Amino acid sequence: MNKFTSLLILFIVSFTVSAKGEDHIRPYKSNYGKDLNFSLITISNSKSTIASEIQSSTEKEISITGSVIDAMSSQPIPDAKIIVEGTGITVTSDYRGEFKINDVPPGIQEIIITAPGYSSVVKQVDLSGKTIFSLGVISLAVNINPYADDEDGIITFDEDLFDDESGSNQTIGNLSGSADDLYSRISGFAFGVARYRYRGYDSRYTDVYINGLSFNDPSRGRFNFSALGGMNNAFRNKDGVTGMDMAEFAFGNIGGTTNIETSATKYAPGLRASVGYTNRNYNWRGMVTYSTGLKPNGWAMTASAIARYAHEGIVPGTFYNSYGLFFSADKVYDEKNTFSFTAFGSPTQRGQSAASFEECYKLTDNNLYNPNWGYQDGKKRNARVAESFDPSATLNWYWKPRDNMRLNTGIGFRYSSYATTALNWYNAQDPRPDYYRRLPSYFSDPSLKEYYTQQWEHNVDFRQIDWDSFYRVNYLNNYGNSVNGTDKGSTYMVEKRHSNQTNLMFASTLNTDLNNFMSIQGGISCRWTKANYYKTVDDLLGGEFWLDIDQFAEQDFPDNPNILQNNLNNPNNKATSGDKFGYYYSIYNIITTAWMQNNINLPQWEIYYGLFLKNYTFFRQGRMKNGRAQYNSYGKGQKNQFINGALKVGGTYKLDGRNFFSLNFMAENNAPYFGDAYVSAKIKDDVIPNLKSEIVYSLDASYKFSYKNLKGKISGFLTNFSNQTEISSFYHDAFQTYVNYILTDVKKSFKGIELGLSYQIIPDLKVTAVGTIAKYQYKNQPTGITNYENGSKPDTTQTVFLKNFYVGGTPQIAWNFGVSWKAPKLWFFDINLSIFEQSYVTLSPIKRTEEAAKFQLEGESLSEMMNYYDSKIKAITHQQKLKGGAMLNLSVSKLIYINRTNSLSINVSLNNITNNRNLQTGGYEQGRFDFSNYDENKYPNKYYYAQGINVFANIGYRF
Amino acid sequence: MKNINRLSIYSGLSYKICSCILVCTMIVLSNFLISCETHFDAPPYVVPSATWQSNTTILELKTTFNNNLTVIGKKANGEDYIIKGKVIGNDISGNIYKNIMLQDATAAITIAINSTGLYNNYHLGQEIVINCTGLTIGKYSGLQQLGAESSSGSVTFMELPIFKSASQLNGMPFQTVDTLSMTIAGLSTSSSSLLTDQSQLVVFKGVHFEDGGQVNFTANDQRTTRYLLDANGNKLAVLNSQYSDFATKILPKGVGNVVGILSYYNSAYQLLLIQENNCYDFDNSDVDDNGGGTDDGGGNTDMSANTTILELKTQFQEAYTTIGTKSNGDAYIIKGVVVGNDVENNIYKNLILQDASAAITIGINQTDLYKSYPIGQEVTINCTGMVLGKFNGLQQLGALSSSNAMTFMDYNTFTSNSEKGSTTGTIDTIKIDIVTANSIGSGGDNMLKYQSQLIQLSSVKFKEGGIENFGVSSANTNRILENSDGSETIIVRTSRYSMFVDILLPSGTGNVVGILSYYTPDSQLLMRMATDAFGFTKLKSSRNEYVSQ
Repeated sequence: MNKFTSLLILFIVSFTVSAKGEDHIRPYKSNYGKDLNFSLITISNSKSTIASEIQSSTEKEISITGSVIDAMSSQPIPDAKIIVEGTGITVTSDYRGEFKINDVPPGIQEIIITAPGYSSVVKQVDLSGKTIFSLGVISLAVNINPYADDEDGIITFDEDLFDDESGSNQTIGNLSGSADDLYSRISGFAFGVARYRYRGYDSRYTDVYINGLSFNDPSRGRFNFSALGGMNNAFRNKDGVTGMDMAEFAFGNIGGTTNIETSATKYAPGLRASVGYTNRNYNWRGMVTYSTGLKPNGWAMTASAIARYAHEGIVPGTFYNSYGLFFSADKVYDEKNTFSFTAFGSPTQRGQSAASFEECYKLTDNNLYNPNWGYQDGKKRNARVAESFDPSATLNWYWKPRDNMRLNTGIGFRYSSYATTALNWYNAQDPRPDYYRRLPSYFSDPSLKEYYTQQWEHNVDFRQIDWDSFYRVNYLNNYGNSVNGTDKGSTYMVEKRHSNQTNLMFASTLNTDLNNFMSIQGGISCRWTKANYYKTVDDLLGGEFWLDIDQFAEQDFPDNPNILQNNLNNPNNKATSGDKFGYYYSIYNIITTAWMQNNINLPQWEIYYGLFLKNYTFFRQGRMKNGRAQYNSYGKGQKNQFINGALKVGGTYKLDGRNFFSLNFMAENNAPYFGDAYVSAKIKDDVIPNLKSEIVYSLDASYKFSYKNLKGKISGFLTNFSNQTEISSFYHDAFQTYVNYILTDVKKSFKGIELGLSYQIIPDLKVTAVGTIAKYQYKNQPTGITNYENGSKPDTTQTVFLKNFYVGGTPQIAWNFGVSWKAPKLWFFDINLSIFEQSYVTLSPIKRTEEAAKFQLEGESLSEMMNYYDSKIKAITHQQKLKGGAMLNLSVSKLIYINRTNSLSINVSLNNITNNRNLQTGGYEQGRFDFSNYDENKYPNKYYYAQGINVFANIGYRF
Repeated sequence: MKNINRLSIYSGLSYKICSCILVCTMIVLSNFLISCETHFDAPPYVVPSATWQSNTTILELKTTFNNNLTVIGKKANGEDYIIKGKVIGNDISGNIYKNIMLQDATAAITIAINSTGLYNNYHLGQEIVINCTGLTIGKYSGLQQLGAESSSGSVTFMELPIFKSASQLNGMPFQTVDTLSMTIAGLSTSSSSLLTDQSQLVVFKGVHFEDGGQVNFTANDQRTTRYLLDANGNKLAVLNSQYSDFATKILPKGVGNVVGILSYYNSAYQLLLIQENNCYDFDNSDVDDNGGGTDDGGGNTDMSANTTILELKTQFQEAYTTIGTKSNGDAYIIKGVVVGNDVENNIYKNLILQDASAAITIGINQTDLYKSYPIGQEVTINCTGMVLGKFNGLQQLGALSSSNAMTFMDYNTFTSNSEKGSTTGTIDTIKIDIVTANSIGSGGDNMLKYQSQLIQLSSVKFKEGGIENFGVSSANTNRILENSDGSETIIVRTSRYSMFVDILLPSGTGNVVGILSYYTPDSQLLMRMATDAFGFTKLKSSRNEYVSQ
């Protein structure tokens, strides 16, 4: 309730603030004269933008001016982007819609004017013999293409339908990318359903900034976009580059870089509200955004609120409750200084789903079968409920001492809380419904097989969690306590695993021109993080307490009462609801960076190079003394420090105004993130042996062409990773205990080709084709370390034979073909087809070791035995390819103008019209392997399937 | 510009209020919905009440289907066979595995169910009504039980869902059950007794465990059979699982009462303990297990010594000889007191026996011998059949390996050819000097008289006293003990596994007691425990502990 109240207060305050200066209406232009001629300082790409002052230009420098308005209402459009094609020059319009571009090369140039929610306009100009060229007033028409990154955008910010194995949820869609890059724009929304990752990279290689402050999570490096709460309107101002292209606000990364700008002056004034219905992970969405625009007194304010809700999503047993608030206020002090404050947060609570076995999907005849829920007293209850809330705030000072020089200095605060529940049990059978011993496949006796099949098909308490049975067992424990004087706690309970972070950030970024053709960018930043990890008792399910010991250590060391303690400072603790138990530790982390880059922009060439330095330091503070690591778990741990550097260099050759050839190269080393550095952070302070920074080399080359009706880009890329580590934890059958399995010195190679093509058949009819063909592979035989969680044995090492196996979880071939038609009377139609192939399951390492090859050879001669060996080893190490397929999507939109300024937009999107439910969007091999019988089918893979036909219907009102 | 109009439209207060209300409503609504979703009331406990009526006793069921395997059909009158009973045994401690035992007024039966954690739902004293029609009944190695048919045609566990659908719980658990009082001698394997007694909950009073107080419920991390004996030496096997929560506890000492499930395996009863407190009221007394004698193995039931150790050693001085019988046909029987064993792990797999004449080392292939043969234990040994020989000069009793070298004899060979007497036999510590100790060579009078003897060297000092520890954990160590002027020295050998390996050698002058052993060409003194070195000016371990004197 607290976070809700504080956000509500914040929201109400915002209205009060904006109420100032509303008392009288003044046309800002006529009565204030020069006093109000402040310019809006924007932190966008290269060259400066000043509204009304005319700068004197030297001989070869040409300036272009103009203003951008809404075609229907004639209102100015602030923050529209004006791009001089092929020169890398981009400016944005100010709060009056006006712009000025300086230092434009002479000759024929193509100017593209674009703004979110509007159709782009292209103007070709001949600048010979001019010093100042005025484009005049440019009218933009509203474009309600839902696949454009517009205010009522539908797809980009929702979580994936399924969480992955660890309960985390990687981004879908590509957040970064420049507005005019067709490949990144379309791949972002079209490929998300297949869990596409840009160039196969983990999302930690994509840097996301908010107002110049880095918001990638420090523990694993990934950006948690669900913190944005789906508030597309509030976060629509994005500046970014695809891949390794040069950005002006950051050094960048191989997967692209985006800066989300929430400065209140960037929003067109007005109120927008929308209501939508969908049948995915939520059903209803309501969103409202209000902006004041820049007021005469120099203040601007924007606020937005959203709610998304489903009692039950499309996946059975899941629910969704999320709302969000956003507030931004700017004070333009004078033409050189602007202060900007932003705060936002989105508390979300949702019931999760999980991957399951093919056998379960077949038995239930439902590819969306979810093992995480069951009936309790007639109501559906989910055992895996995730709660997240990431309230954040930024405060920026934008300083522009002169033209062509900008300094953005900001501080930020983020408190992130994330918790997920899970079942836990003591001395009882595994209660999960898809536990392998409860599946018909476990039995060889045909009558038993048939019996279990019947149970799965007809008994819902059998194929889902039987909550009522947990309560019965716990009540009997209580009864036994009262009758026999015993002291038993719960046998079944629900625990809640928390990971909370406090981040404090500081960054300062400079962007300045040295002369007409050279500019430099640079910056420093510092980020302090405290991350807390612990678990609490969420629900004792009718029992009296939960005994805090490790039952696996209890079974392996029956005589040692110390080793099974999770907290020797509070042994045999009887935890009750809300108590911390199991583990409790903090990680402290400081990241400091410094970077610079130099960009040289000549008529025929553009060249840049950059350097980056980072210091990444962290240590663990244990808050419980674990019995399995008595001397190494409690208190301050060892400090780990890494110094990293990166170098990048690249350039573009401009053949003429229409054909461009680019090359980018980056070499970097990256410290291991603290979330991945420890062998078992819940128990002890040990980091992975030989912990070191990974090394990345990446190269890409592209050819881009831009003709009147045909535009396209083809790229090739190659990225090599080495010194990587991967950790997984699972129950190891050979040793009958839990292990942490660490792969070290992993080498990977990612290479491929991307194509983006768009052809305008007639002015209102456009055809696009976008796709990639790539290979993401392991390239060596890394070392695997088995670490026994209960400390019963020392670590053992083995070689893992992974060479040329695929990095799983993303399609290596993905294509999208689309046709869009802007029909008369403000109708809009779009139909597109996506094709996904060559996605593989995520690997389990222990199947690919010599130990897994020690099966009995069958045969009566040596050659028979060798033959048997070859085919069996192939079967054991086979990496399953996911079922690919195609998806057809259709979208229809209509825009209705009530009057000049008020409009209603209606959009209906139908995805997967052919109801293809056989597309596997993800899957993974289980960590376990059958070391007794070497039966590769004993622990089958788990899969996720795509949803069938789904809809999103949205009505938006704008006034 | 037309901006003026636009400003006027949205700045109106009414619009402000409208949008504010809209947003606030959405927020309130969603917050309400959030709290709705997560609050789950605990459902009330419904005491189960069976609707089926029993129409068969367990005894009737067992008698009707008294064969190796049958699928139970319907009764003659068309009804299903329905029994009712209370749970008397389950897997609560882990000792019983995938079984529960059900009892009614007439008999008891074992039910085999393929699941662990059965006790969570089938607590002791829980009444269950079972519809047996359709279930399989049979015998596994003689134990009659309800279960399923295995692929090889014998009885195995039935699946839990099948049992659940064939059973109804009735009432709360922990109701009283009947414990049948029995005697070991009174156990009968007649067919009628098997029907009524198999799987029953029984109590044996006034019984003791063999090796009670000395061994654990299970040994070597494996399933272990221990024995309960009555006053007359009648035995009952007690089968203990290594997975039980009392597996590593010590068997109770003395005489007491034991409750358990009377199980059956291959023509003999065996007792299954359900939980540790099934052994109760044990009096911790010393029990003499020699009465009865059925566990003595071969030869004479009445062993009395007819040879001294000195005579034996004198007679058999070869490298190795298998001891035969005396000229009059009698076995060679010696009697002595244990003066040396592996109590602190310095001596390994040896017992040293001493009588009034001499002492001898006995090599036995067993660890933790001290538990059954503590220092002071009187033992009478029938040596005929054993091998007496020398290993690197040390004369000892043992066996021959396949390559005809001296090795340890089997523990069974030793126990079946020996008898234990009192545990407080007389011990003599022979005081000699280092010179004599060094003269025990591998032949001659001193060898026969002093090898393996318990001796005391007085007024001696450790050469590295106060400097080194008794040993190191990485290797066996020789320490030097010298007389007061340092002219004579003798080796004191410490095993790397010995428990006093980390204790600092005492400095100054004192006394050392030990077994005088030999390893060509040197004599060596083997201390049995840290306190064998005593009377030194100071004694302090490297860990700052004072060793008691």
